[in-house]
Amino acid sequence: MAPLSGLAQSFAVAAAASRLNRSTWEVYVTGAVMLEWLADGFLIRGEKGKLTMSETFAPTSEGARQLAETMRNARRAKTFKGWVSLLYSRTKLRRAVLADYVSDLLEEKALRYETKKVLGLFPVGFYVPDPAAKDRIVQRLRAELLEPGNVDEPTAALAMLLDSANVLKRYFSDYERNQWRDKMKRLQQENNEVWKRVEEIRKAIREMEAAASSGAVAATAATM
Amino acid sequence: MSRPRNLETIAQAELVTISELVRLSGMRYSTLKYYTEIGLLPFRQLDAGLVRRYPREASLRRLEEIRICKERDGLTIPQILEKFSVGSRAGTQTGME
Repeated sequence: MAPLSGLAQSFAVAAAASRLNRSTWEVYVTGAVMLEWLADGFLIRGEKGKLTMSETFAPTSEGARQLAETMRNARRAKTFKGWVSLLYSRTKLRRAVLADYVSDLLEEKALRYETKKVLGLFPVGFYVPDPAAKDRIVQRLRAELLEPGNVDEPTAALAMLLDSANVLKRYFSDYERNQWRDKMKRLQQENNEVWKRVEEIRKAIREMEAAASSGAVAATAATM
Repeated sequence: MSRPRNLETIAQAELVTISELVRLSGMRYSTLKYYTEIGLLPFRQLDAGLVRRYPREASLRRLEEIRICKERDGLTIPQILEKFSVGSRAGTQTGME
């Protein structure tokens, strides 16, 4: 599968300060990191969709290392959905992963962290994207998905992820989203080999979506 | 704000704005902006207002080349970028020639 490098960061910028609540946004960004690993072959989908971590994978950043260790040392192998559900309840772990991926964006000023007080009492932190950085991502999506021609795997994956999180509709009209879906179907029929890999990503995203929709319930039920 | 030029004038002009290029090419504004940002569509900034001006003929030729690469050859944008080897020059204010 082609590397999906930048997927988590692109998603973080495009979906920040959207209608996604912060924990769902964090889970999706962390899930996107796992998608990158899946595409890179560091995560291997085995029987019944259970994920195993490659023995050779040794991330250098702290959050990614913690997540990789957790996945490697888990008593039972889990599906993508299982891991995403678990991330809902493991705030510390997902924020550690997030810190790795968001720190570059904060440094580049593609994102900034702001706080506001809810009911004038409780401070709540949230990430706000830089409009220019967000525009670049949206322009890329629009140029690749709505114009005729082929689409690369990272862009297709980002669009599917944003669609799954209900964020794509902020940037594309209903007509444009239907146009994009038709194009994806057509490309899949024409270019079966490449799009089999995209289908693999789509399956993982569907699992992520299922975990996200069950949200807090899945989080409390998930155990190590 | 200056008055928009009519299509006949634009079709004869040496340099055009992005909106005029949208009219000439029939492509989306966001697509042309994206091509510009990644360096596929070079521009010039001549006047004090730093408005981006695109060499009309060369830009339309480049857009046609991109269309052929995408539709006939099935290339993706990163592959087209590589083909034109402009990735490293992304964002620079060079002329087309």
